Amino acid sequence: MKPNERDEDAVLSGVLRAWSPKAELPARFPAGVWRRIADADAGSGFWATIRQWLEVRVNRPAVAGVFVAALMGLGVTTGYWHARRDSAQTESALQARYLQSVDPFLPARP
Amino acid sequence: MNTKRLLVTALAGLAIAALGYYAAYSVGTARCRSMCQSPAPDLAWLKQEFHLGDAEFQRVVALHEAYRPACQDRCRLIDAKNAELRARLLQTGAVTPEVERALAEAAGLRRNCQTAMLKHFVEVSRAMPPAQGRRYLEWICGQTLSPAHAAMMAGAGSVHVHEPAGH
Repeated sequence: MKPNERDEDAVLSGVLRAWSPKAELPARFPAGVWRRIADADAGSGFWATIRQWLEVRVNRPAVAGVFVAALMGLGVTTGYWHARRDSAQTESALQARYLQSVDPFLPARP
Repeated sequence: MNTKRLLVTALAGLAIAALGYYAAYSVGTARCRSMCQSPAPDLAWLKQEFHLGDAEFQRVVALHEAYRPACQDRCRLIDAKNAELRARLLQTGAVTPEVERALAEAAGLRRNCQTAMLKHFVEVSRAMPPAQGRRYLEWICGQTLSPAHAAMMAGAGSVHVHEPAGH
């Protein structure tokens, strides 16, 4: 090595020693790391993927609210539909009963 | 932590769905439950179906209660006459004049029964508000005087063509 090259090497070494990175970690970086570790522990099957997908989304209050509201809507709609069906059956039975009570010539209905 | 939150959210959703179902079902069947719990559910249905007020409903109930025992008496007479007819027919094995007479008497009883029934329908329709009374009469006539011999009459048109008599 020539003396000139040795001097440049010393300068470079000094610059490198003086340099320190100023980069900041992204927000919630540690939580993301832990989540990835948990995901890796949970496996990679179909249900695990679904569960991870749900966990990530349900974690958001807005999505959880929509989920709960959708279930409530499903419950109300099903209840309403069943009530309509049962009411129609009951009304039909009562109508048949009235007809039987006034018309003895009507054949008995099952 | 996320799994726990997912579980809590799912359970809360299911509980709210069950509550929603129960509430909607209860509200939706309240009217029917009320009718079924009344002393005369079939008349309660009539009240609801034809939008009767309390006074009109009381008149209909009174007519119904007066009609039923007489109707049962007529049914007993018809049953007795049918039993007599059956016994005579089985005894003789032929349509004798006695059988024919019993048949005519049974027909007369049925005619009386049907006449009383139609009179009752008219009386009930008059106890209702006019529009509902008309609707009741149309409905009850449709139910009780509908073609009862459809199977027998199917294809009869090709054999017996009943043309209206020309005057």
